[in-house]
Amino acid sequence: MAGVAYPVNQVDITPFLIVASLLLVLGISVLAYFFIGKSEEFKELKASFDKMMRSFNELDEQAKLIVKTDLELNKIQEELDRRLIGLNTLQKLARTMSMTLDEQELFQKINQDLATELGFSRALVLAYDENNAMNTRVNIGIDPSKLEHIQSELTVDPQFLNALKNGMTFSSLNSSQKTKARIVQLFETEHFILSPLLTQRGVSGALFVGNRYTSPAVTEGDEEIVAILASQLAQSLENSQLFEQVYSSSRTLETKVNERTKELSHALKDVEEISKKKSEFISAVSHELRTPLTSIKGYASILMTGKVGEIPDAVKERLGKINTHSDNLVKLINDLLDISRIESGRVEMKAEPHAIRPMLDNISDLLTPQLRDKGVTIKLNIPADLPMLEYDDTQLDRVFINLIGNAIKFTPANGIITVNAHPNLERREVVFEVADTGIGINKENLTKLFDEFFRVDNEINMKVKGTGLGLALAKNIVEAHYGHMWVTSEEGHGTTFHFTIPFEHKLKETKKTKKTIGDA
Amino acid sequence: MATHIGIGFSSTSDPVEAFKAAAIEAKTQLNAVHTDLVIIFATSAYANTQGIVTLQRILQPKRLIGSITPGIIFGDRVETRGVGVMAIISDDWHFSTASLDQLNLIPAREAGYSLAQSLLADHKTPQRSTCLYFYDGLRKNGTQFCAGIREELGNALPIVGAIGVDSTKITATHHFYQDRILADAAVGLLIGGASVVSIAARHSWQPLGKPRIIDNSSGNVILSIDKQPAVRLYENYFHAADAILRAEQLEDIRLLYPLGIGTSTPREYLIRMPIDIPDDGSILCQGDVSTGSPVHLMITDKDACRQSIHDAAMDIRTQLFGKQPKFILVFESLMRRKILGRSGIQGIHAIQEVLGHSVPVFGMYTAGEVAPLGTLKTVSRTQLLNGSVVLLAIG
Repeated sequence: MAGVAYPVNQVDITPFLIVASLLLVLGISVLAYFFIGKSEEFKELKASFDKMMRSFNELDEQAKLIVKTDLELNKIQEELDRRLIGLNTLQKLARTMSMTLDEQELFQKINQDLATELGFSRALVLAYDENNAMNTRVNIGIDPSKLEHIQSELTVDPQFLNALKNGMTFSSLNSSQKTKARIVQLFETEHFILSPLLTQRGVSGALFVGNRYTSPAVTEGDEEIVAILASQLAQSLENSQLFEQVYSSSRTLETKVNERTKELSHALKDVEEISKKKSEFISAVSHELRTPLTSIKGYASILMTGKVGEIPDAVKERLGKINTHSDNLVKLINDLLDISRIESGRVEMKAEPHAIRPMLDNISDLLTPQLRDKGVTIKLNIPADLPMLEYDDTQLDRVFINLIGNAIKFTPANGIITVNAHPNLERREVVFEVADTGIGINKENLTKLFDEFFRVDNEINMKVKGTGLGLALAKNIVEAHYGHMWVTSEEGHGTTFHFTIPFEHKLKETKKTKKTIGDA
Repeated sequence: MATHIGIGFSSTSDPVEAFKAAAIEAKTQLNAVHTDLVIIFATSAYANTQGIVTLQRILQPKRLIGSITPGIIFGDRVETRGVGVMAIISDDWHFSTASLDQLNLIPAREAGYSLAQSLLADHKTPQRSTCLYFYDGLRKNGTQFCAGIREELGNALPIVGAIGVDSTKITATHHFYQDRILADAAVGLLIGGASVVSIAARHSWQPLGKPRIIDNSSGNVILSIDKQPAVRLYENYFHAADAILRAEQLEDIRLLYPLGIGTSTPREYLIRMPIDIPDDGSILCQGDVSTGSPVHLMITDKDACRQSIHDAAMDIRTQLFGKQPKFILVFESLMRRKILGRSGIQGIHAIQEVLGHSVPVFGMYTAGEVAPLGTLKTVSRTQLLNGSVVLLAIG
């Protein structure tokens, strides 16, 4: 291969090499210096970076602690919220439960809304009936066709039976594996609580609540709330059952009372009818008796005068007796007639204002001979400021004469008869008392004392004649004045008759009151 | 020209009776024969067709949509069982509604697009104020559905939505549409003519622990975090294996400790509720998650939850310049309900305290909320949220 040769100038390059070498050394030195310096910076940078990474990692470690604490706090908060919601729900439920005593209505309160508010999707209430058989009373979210199977399976589960026996609530938190598996399978729930319904009389049933698999697990707080709910339900059930019993008894009693009242009402009507007929009979008979008696008494009086011829003393004596007995008979008939009129409402009473004291003074005067004969003292304790009363003076006069006359009769010598009067401002009436220091009346007789024709069986009554109509008449007169009469007595110490007369007559508006005796 | 709102509620055990009672209560407040729109929020036991028919007979609504929910929100209370009904008569507003069922047969984005198309087809006026939709809680691709809706309706239209579920277990979901009850479906409402629409969305979650990086994700599935199976994040914090997490603590994870995905705005996080932990160690979220995003475990407390409702209400008030809205719809996260517990109602009270006690408040608990993350200022970023409270005020 042909070539072209070019001439080359021979140049000494040594100085260049020296300079270049020096420059190279200098450059290397500079670079070495630079890199050494940078290396320090890199080191510092790396140290800073490592420090920052350590800080980040420390920050991260702190963050882990924060997450852990925050998670716990959130769980506590959630549990607290659930409890508050549960308690709030229970409080509302307690309020509504307390408003009903109907068992059916009570079970209706355990509904889907309540279960949801408590955080459960299923609920079952089983309750014993009167034949001790367990029945489903509430079913929320459980297939009804499975209930029979659920009941039969539950009632052989030892933990369930034990819970019923000991009144213990248990849940998926603390139940045995076997029971948990059985309940989970039976109710198709993962989380559940079962609580017995405890009453004072024992276990009345059981409450089940549960949640499906996706729901949060139950907590001890849930268990407590469900136990409270079961207790509330049991208490309300017991109350409703007790109420039902009381109500049922009361209904029976009411029916009986009604029947008895009806019977008594009929009887009273009969009695009133009889009484009316009796009064009419007495009235008729009395009238019929009084006419011939008046004739007898009249003829006896004529014979006594001797106008139809002289009569022997013995006959005169007999005629005197006829006269006396006729008078007694007339008095008896008059009393009978008065009572009859009072009872049949045919006596009119004129209530007008009167002071009591003058009337009692007159009566005292009138009875003075008898008092003196018996050696009995009468004391009239009538306050000076006793208000005027509205009464029929003739009738009230008879009452006082009757009571004081009786007192004289039964008070032994040196005895005292006291007539008291004191106002009862609250009841707006005056209370009168006629008290004696006589032989008294036993309790048995006291109750019959105002019966017509009743006379206490004692020595005095055997000696002294009487009709047994006086007290009945007096009582009727007092009652016709809208007052009351009663008697208290202690055998051997004396008897007190009490009666009241109102301040104002109830028919005062009519000014001149015409009160029919017997209206009271 | 006027707008009238009537709200009714019943918790009667019989669903038909409950619908009847709630409808009558709402109708009593309206005092009208027909209604333009009825929105129903009911607990799952009340997903009853006969009930809807009864309600239709009483309120005679031209449009009806609704969703089941674990809890119904009112201004003064929260009900966990029953039927809530809001009936509207308005001369000012126009409503169009649409539904889409058999979601399992359609890709989510396409489904969202299709629903939005139906809404527009039904809308007889060019005025569009806002869109509201309810999506099926058993579907696991809410972000794509939302994107489909947004694609058709445009980023400028305020969109609010909710994922309706029966409970925190998310075992069933139903929606109400006209006289039907739909499963595996979405229903939507387009409102036109409303003079003012304001939306506020707030969450109260704070990051906990060190930040990590999602280094592999696909749609709503986080495959790995920090080059480890995603579930390790939870295993570390809960000291539990993934099987135990899945079996025992998924609900706690889901509701109490969601993931916070970092956004381009500092200290703003998109909350993602894990809905499942599959066997491969990934984490299935309810919304999409981007690869490369920083991720945190998130935590919150009652006070922060309550404060966030107050803040959302204040936000609405600011947007409305103090003017009272005609009504407020509330979409409150189930996660926040779990944290608030019994005190949840205290937060709800804040809405009327801020916006006025006469403003009707009606809402539901959701498994996911759709709203702009933030306020209307970030309207283009309407997306599926978790763990948030969303207020939609219309005036």
